[in-house]
Amino acid sequence: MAEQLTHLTLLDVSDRELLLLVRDHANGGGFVWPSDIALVLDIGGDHPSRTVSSRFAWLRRYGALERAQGTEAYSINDAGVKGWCLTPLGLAIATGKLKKQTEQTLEKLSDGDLIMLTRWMSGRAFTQNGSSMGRLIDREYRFGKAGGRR
Amino acid sequence: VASIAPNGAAPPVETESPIERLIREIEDVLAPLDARREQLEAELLDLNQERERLNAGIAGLSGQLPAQEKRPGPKPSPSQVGRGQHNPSQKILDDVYALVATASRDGKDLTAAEISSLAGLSKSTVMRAVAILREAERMRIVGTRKDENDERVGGRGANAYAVMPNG
Repeated sequence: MAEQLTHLTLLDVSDRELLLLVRDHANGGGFVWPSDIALVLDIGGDHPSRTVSSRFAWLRRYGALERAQGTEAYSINDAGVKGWCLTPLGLAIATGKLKKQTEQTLEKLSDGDLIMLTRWMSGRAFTQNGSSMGRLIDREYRFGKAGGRR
Repeated sequence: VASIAPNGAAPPVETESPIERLIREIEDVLAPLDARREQLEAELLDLNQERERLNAGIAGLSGQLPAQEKRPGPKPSPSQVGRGQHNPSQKILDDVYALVATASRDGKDLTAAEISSLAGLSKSTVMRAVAILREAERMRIVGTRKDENDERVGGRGANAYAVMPNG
C-alpha cells in the first residue's frame, strides 16, 4: 500500500492530470468540488479538501479553472459550496493535441532550430509574463524539465 | 438597508460572502508558498539526479581500479533503491503502455501491481516505466484503488493509471 498523500504538488499530480480528473468527475453541469478530487486521490492530512483547493486556486489564476457564480445549474452542492469547472483553456490543456502536420514539422527541426524555438517560446512566455498564458508556458516547461514524477 | 443610487441604479449585488472572500484571500497567500515548495522540490529532484550522475561516474571509475582499491560505498536507503538503476527498455515501456491502453479502451484502469502481474515484470520496473510514461504525458493517474486481497486496515490505496487522451 502506498504512503498516504498529504499534499498535492505539481510533481505528485501534474496540472494536466488534475484538469483531466476535473473533467472525469464533473457533474451534469460540469462542476466538481475539491472534496471529490481529494477522495479520488485518497489525500490524507487534516484538510484534504484544502490541499486540492489550493491547486484549484492556482489553476483559476492561470485561467484553466473557474469557480461557479452560484447561478448555474448543478453549481452548488448539498453543503452550499460552489463548484469549480474547466474553462475552454483548461479543456484545451487537458485534452489538446498538436496537429499531426505540426508535430511532424517540429520533429524535423534541427538542433539549432530547436534552440531558436525554445528562445521564441521563452520570449513569448516573458512578454506575456503576468498573464495566465505566460505562467502556463513557464509551468509546462518547468514540469517537463523536472521530470521523474512518481 | 441597501440604498438606491441617486441615478436610480440598483446597488451592486454582493456575489461573494465575507467567509468566501476570507478563504480566497488566505488561498492567495497560500498559493505562492505552494509554488515555492514545488520549486524547491523540483530543485531537489535536479540535485538528486545530479548526485546520482556523479555517483554513477564514481562507480564507473572505481570499476576500472584494481579490486583491492575498491571501497564499499554507503548502503542505499530504501527510498534510493532502484533510482540509480537503468531505465526500462523501450520494449518494456511499449508493453506497459499497451496493457494500460487496452484496459483504458475497456473503461478500466490498472494499478502497478496489476500491470506487474499481467506483464510478468517486477513492480519496481513497472513503477519506473509508469514514471517515464507519465513524464512523457502518455499515461496519467486517474485515482487510487485498494487491493481487494489486502486486508490491512488504513493506508492509502494504490495509484490507478490510464492512458492520456490522444496519448
